[in-house]
Amino acid sequence: MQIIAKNLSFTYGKQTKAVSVKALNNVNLTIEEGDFFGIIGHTGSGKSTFVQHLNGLIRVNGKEGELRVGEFDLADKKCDLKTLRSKVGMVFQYPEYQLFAETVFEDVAFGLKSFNKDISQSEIELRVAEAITTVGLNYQRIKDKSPFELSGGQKRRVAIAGVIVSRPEVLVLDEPAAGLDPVGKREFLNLLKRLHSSFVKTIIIVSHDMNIISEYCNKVAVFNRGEIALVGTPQEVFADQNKIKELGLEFPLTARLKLALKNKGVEVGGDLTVEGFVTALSKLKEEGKL
Amino acid sequence: MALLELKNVCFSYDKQSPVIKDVSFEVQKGEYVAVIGHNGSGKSTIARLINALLKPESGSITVDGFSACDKKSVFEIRKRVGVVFQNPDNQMVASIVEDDVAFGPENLGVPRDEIAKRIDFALDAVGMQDFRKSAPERLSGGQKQRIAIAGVLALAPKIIILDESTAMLDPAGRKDVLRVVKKLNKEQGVTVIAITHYMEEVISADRVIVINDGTIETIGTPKEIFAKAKRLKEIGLELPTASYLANKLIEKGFRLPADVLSDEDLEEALCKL
Repeated sequence: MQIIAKNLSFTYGKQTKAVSVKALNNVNLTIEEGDFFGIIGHTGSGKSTFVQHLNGLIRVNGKEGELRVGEFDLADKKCDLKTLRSKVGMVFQYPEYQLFAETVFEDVAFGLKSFNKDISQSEIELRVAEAITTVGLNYQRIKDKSPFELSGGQKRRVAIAGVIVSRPEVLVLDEPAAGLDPVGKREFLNLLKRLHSSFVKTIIIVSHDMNIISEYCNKVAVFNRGEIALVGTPQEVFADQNKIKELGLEFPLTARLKLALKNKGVEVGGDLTVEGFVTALSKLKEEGKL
Repeated sequence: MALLELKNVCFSYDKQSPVIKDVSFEVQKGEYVAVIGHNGSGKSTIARLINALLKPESGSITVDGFSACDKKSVFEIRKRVGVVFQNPDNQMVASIVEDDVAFGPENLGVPRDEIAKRIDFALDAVGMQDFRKSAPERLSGGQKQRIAIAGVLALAPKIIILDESTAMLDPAGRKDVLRVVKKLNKEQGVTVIAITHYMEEVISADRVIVINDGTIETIGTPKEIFAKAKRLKEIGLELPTASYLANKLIEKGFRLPADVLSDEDLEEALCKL
């Protein structure tokens, strides 16, 4: 599903002019099917407001632009939100706080049941088992446990299982790695990578962690005061040194090192992943250009 | 005598599965100590034990000469140890910043004039004097965390424990909070115990305590700790990104110092190649 926003604007508290805040202002953005898309920008830049539009949690006011997610026209009041939401999975910050059921099984099955009223019990079991296995947990061992006796990393996996059980084509995650220990973080991001090569076609992450963005995303959009300030591949976006600084953003470590070397007259090619940087630098060394 | 001393401390939440197993360490006055360990390793439990929110099953904890195991000294302990938790929204109690900061000393029965002085001092220390009359819910995450720190400072503590206090903040907010804490440590001599998952926050600590499954894995300077990359990974931890990248380059035959920790270190080393 391709996602296209055209001149999308949104104002909080529109009826009360004194306190209204313009959170999005003429946003034009296309996210292609297959993208691992990063959304960055400092706090209050409109990132969350934008992603909450994607599954209709915030509705488009027809006069304030267009938003299409695949075949769904979000500006249309009659848009089938239920079907849309089964196709666009949303994972909020600290999703483990949303676990509520008595068992892991019930928690994961909840969304599936509410999206498909006439789904059979055997189908539910099949899908829940699949989802729990996909996130790297042992179905038999964990299904009857209370979600509250699990560790932080396990809880987050269960929360994701509850979203992917509906087999969404698009998965949106807000700060997916916050609060996890370093290894938990890496495993979790690798899980996203794995999902991205299965039924989940598009992944959109909102993050402040530039090292995650440069390591995992093929495209990035930078939000600033409700507008899109920059969009492109991580290399393109972080090459605009002055703009990034002006926006008060940090550089991924690889981009920072590239800039430092560039100032010394050494151009390092390749992308901004650690692997890409190491390979490019090794090549320069072999060629005697360092 | 050490300001804080834990001796053979054991603790469990359910009297069956121990969470803290025979933990001993000391913290000297004025130190900046980082505590790291994977999720569920027992880091936060240790913070709660030091603050006498939890009571050890065996062993002893002494803060500035007071025993955390003695019910009568609980207030003395809490005057000396302030904890800043992860989510700033969970520890805001008043609707105006200065009232929030005053809450702690009011409860300890500090005289009114003295409270006013402490609010002044605390808000100055965290750079939030301009927000004295603001409503906490109108502040950003980083600002709220600085108010939470001010609330702790108003108790004039000897030890501040940051229990993943920057985890929910954006990079700007995190920098803000760390700058304030470092300043308090350097200028006021406040002892800091920082529990964190961000390896970058560990680099500048005097000492690092590594916790694994409720026991102390090792204690050392950041350089000593991060020299054991393989073992760290085994217990769910990693190197700071700069060390990780430096190691990859060293594997490829680059001549870089083996103890690169910060982004600045690596930048400097690479530019010297």
